[in-house]
Amino acid sequence: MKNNASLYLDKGRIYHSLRIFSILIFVSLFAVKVSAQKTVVYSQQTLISLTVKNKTIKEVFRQIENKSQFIFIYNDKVIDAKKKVSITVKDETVDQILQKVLTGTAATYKISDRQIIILSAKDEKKESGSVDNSASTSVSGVVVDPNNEPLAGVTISLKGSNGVYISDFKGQFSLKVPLNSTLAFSFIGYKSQNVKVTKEVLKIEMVEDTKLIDEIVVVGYGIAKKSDLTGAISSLKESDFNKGVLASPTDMIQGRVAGVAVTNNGGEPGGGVSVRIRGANSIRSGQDPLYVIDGIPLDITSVQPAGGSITGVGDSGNKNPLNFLNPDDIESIDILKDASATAIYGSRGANGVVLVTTKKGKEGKTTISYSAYAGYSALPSKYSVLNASEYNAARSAKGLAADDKGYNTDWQDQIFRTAFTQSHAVSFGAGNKNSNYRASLSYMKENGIIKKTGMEKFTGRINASLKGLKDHLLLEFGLTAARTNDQRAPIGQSGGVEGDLLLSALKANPTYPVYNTDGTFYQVSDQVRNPLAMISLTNDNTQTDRILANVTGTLYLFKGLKYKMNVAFDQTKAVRKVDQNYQLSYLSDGGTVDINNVEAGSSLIENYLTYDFNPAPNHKINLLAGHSYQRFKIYTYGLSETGFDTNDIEYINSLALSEKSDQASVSSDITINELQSFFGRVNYSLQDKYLLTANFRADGSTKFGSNNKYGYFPSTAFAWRMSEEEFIKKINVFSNLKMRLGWGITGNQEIPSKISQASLGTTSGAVLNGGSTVTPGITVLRTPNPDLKWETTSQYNGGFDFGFFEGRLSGSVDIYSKSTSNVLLQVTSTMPSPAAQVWENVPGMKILNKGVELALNGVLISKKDLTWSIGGNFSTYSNRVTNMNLSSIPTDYPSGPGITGTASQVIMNNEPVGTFYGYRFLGFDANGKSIFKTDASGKAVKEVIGHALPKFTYNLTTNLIWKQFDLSLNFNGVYGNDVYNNLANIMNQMTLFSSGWNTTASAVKSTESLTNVLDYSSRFIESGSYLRLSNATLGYNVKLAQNSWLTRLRVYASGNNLFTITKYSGYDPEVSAERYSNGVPSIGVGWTSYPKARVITFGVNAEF
Amino acid sequence: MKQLHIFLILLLLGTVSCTRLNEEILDEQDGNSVVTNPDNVGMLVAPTYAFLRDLQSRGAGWLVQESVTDEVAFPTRGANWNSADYRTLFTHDYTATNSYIKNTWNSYLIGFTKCNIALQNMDKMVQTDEIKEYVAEVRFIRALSMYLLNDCFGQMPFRESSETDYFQNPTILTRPQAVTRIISELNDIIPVLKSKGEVPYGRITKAAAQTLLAKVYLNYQVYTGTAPKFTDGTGKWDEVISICDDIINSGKYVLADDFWKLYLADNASYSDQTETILPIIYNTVTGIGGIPWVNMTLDYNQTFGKYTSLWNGCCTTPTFFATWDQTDPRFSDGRLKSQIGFNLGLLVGQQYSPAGVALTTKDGGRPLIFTTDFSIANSLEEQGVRVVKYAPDPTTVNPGGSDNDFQYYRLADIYLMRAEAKFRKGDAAGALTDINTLRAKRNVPTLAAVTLDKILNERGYEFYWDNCRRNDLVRFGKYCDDRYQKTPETDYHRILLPIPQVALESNTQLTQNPGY
Repeated sequence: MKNNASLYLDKGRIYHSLRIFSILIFVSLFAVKVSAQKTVVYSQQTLISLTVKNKTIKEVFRQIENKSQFIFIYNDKVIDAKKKVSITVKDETVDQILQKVLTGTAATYKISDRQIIILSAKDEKKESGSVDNSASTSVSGVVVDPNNEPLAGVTISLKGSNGVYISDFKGQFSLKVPLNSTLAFSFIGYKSQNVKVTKEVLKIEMVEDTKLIDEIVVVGYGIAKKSDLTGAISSLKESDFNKGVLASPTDMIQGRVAGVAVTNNGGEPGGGVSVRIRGANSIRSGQDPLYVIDGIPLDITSVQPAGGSITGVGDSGNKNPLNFLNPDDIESIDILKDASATAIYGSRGANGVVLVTTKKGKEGKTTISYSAYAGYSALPSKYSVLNASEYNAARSAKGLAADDKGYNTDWQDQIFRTAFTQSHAVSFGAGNKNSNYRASLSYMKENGIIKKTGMEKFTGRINASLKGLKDHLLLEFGLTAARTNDQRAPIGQSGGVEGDLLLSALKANPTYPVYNTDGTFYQVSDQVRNPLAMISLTNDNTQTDRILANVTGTLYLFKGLKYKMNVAFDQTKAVRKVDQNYQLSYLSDGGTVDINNVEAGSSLIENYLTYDFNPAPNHKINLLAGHSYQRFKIYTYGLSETGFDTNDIEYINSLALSEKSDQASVSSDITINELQSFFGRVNYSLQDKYLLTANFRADGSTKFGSNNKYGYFPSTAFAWRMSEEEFIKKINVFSNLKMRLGWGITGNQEIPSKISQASLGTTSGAVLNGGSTVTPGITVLRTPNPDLKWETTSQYNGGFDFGFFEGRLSGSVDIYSKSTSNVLLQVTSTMPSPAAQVWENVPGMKILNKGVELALNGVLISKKDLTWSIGGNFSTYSNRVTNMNLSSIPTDYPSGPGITGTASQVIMNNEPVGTFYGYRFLGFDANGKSIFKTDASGKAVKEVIGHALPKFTYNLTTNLIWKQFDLSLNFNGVYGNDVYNNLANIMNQMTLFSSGWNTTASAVKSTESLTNVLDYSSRFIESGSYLRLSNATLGYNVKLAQNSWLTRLRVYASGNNLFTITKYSGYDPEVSAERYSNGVPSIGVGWTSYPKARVITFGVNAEF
Repeated sequence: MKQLHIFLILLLLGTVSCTRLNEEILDEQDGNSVVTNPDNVGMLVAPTYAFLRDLQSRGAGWLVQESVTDEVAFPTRGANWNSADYRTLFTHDYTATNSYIKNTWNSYLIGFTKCNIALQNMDKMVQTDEIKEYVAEVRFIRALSMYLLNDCFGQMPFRESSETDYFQNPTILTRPQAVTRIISELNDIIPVLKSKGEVPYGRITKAAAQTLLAKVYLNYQVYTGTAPKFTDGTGKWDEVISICDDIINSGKYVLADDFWKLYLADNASYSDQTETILPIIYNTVTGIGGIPWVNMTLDYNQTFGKYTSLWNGCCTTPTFFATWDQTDPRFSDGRLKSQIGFNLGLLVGQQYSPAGVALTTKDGGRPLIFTTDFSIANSLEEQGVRVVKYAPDPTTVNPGGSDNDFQYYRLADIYLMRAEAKFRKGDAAGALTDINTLRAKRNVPTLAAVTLDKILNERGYEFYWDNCRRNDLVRFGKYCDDRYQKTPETDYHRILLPIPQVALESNTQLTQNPGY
């Protein structure tokens, strides 16, 4: 951690030196710890040694700052800038030194806590000063921060004059100024204010300026000033988060960060999400970034227990494992993108790292806040299928026997609903110099737009900290407890001819009734299902309890050296109970019950030392060294029983009710993994202009083979703060300009457990005694690979951070190149072997990603009553797989009747991941049969027919603040990607129409034959480009009386997913069906995913 | 104060001790203790017997060996059963990327490895009679996997049971090397193996090993000759006859009086009492159910009992259908009709529900009349003659798998092999006697004269859908012939299946069979 940074602000010709920590109080988490440090270690008794020869007084101040935590606040006019002094002191107090330095000058000083204010001798007599002795009025007052704490060192300048003063350490000032003159108040990190002197006593409340502030960014095992960063790191503060209904941190950042692609798997409340930072490094699963919550690296292996199995309905999608966090508790999210930043996380850093920091109590401030919203969500648009009369007309037009039951049922209306959502969050916190706490409680209930689906969650979080051992020890404690209740319907990520809930609704004959005359559901067969019956007769409830707790102890050993220990515990228990009523037409053996449990947990212990020191003036060094050990355990177990045949009772309440005499089937599985790491980092700063970082981590994992237990991950980066150079300053264009260069190696160990070992285990047995007793089998279960090791990604990054027009336009641009080798993949074993597949680091194979990211923020108007800003980001990358010694790796076998046998996507050399490969569709022949592109011999040939990765993604955000009103709009878009519309392949065609399926109007108009074969082809590859207004929020900050018991009250209306411009014919172009083939996931396949809702909410935020 | 600091550091660091990162496996029984205990030898052997069930896989061995012939076709039916991998097997356009051929290769080689693992562990035990017997049984199963690999692919990668480094390249056995090895293995174990009655039903007997050896000799001409007729190869007819004599003369097997009783769901005891030499045991109650034969082939609307999910898939061809005398009891049997609505054997013409109601198709509601014609590229729902060889249990609650023990080797095969060997050797009279012995038992008219075609047809009547048609057609020189929906004559190189592409990529020492 930097503790001696001097900040430079060329504003009003005042030099401030300012500890970063005073800003930290407002923006970050370690505030209390820091304040502990400053009161004790940097008291006036702190002894300083100093040798200065013939330097300016300012240089002496700077050196004192470097060697202590004092900050100097002074006006240039007060000290003689040209005067050179020489001084040599050893172990003297700051008082003693200053007396020596200032002897013979017109300056004196006052020390307040850590602040040293240099005053002219005559000012000191008057406590403050006057600008102009001829002024006609005197004005005094106090400058405070938003917490009502006095702000010392605020620059006060009189407009139209050269007079510049500063507030004293109590934040007070007293001036004589002309009547009706205007005073400008400015202070680094705050918005400048112009105040007309209309009365004699003023209270000026400074407002934080998050744009100008030198932000604190959370990095691995520490924090850093943004200006000191050498790597590609994107930071989001509360004001940057998405708005509206947010269930998890990934919802909060979608679209907000260049190079971070967040793709929701449809719109199920709390539904799964795929997060890709700078493209795909791997081609198997395990491409998600590492999430670190307040220093605890999470295991985000899905803890979703399996549900009930239904023929024709594939596995249900995973829920987002981060749902247990309350978005209202999150202070900031920092995303480490390049290897120089992520290498400190070694074998888990290759996919980027998302650091989530929660809110803490603040010193000197007691707050109570309440925020709530309520709203409605609805399906934006239905998938267009024929209604009853169209259906009958089409059947007769196509010469098919009528199948008209005389009803007109809109099956989508039967399953969709307008759903109510509400959320409430209460938090309170307080703090003093020795301790603080913040506690929060939230409740959210998000009903899904499909009946009997939704998510309800309760979260509680407590953060507390306490200083001990005479402020040498800081203890911090964090605890999150969350219960999530998910209610789900039978929707699958794949499926067969029978269809899941959504497919059943789309394909159902619209002339069929919903109910029989006796009130029971009208169900035709196991393959022709009643979607409402599927919902009504199925209960699918998952309860997930998660506790995440950590205790951190920080020991301040001596100046600059800290020892920190972090102990964390993460435990999840999830139970999913599914019962299916025996009346469901597709159950072969009566009603069923499936109860599945997952118990997952990890424990972590980390010890590390950080040391900050300045070996010489202008040289700053920060060292980190540590050890980390984390142990993961996942235990799943479950039972399922069939044969229930009653209506009276929920089967899970009486499992013995089953008619079956044999036992329920049971299962269990357990894995334990361990990670042990040693890590270190050196930060070196020369003149605060040239910054160098080097990381190193050694990671050992139980998952790796016995011959390769440890992986080694170095990185280094260099940054040049060019705007600090005189020649840049002379150009006078840039308010900030920094160049960053970085390189590093990171790893990926997200592979299944146990695969490096052979291990004899139980397998399917056989009858050996001639009767009906099965002797279980023992054999080698896997083809072992003792050489298995982590996947390695090396990455180069170059970037610029820039600001123009005094920071009104700022941004960053990054260009990167990544290369993944030792690609971990399940490949064919060299037969004969115990198993057909073996995990291997595929020799020679590389996955290359190259990309450019641009982020821009502009403040177009900045007036007292009107602020208008626009921000946006743009990212593009290219992905390519090379040197693979396999001809191709197929993935995504399409779902639905007739198309299941052929992979839609392949991974092949010199193509990106997500390449669609198949026949090129040319139209229908005279018989209505598909014509495909053929080779010379007339045989249909396959070729590349699309790419699932977009050419670029973009985001545009605008914020308008006018008086009490604020309006924000957030647009997201992707361009140039293809989507395979698997749903259209079986809905938008005529073949299945002849077997009683419903279809679309466009298919009826086509000349397609009723017996056309449904081959997978380019016919159903569609453009996936879209532009979405993902959120619009209009808020109003209620004006409150000066002494109101409320400190803040804001009401707002917010809309999510308000419109989407796309050519995609399915429900929503943001598709991410979770399909794997041999562990290789597909990209960009649209199936019957839960459609994304349009949501309108109304909310209130109040602080007391 | 300094001491306090140091003390605290030591205390805190002391709470972490470095771990060795050995991976614990908790949910798999540590087989090491099991496999050293001779009492548990059955558990080592069981996986090799489980492999026998995999020979019937409808995604691997059974599918490939049957659907490259005239016995089975998986036609695409509009939106259903659309896979080029099915179609190209039938039309002999299969390539090295055919997934079912890959599955077949893997199935046989994993089975081979399971045998090696069992042998390697049994080798460490005290060689009691029981262990020796089990070793011989496992060596039989390994020899069977080698026979199948060699027969289908013409070569095989091979490891001795002591070779456990699966990253080492295996030895590649050429066809002559493989055949030599199989014969010597079988000759080694035949004296050790016990006879029927001395080991429980379902276990490998001396006669099973003799049957396999007879098959190796029966095909010896193919293995040494030139496609497609192989007449330049070496015939080992005397060896075949001698082994078959031995089995028949042992008196332990008798031809069944009731052919269909061999194929009913509960066929174990009848098989044991009559002619079955090697049954593969299935038992749905204990979770080892066989292929869902009935679901695969029957029309969606032919539901009965718990059989509510039928898939309307494979059928047989007019080529095979035309070989039949439809009065042959093996062609059709009506004993379960009142419960299931259809006959056993070949299903053709209008189909009825168990209640006798004429059924219609799911698509379009046409009468459900199974026709002999179909189109492999795109058939209507009702096209193609269906086959129910392994009869369902109408009362089962587990319709997803069959209970019938698979008839892998039967005495009928021994008679027909001996007949064939005699005929090829020039003893037409001896052949006629053998074939008529069988036909008499089957209640079909005896033949006046025998030809190779008649022997092949007789094998078809007996063993259709029993997983030996490919081998038979090759040996009779008919594999490449023009047949229904496969014209013209197949290029001879396709008699050997292609080595799967992924196998070539994972072992560069393998060479693709010529022509692919």
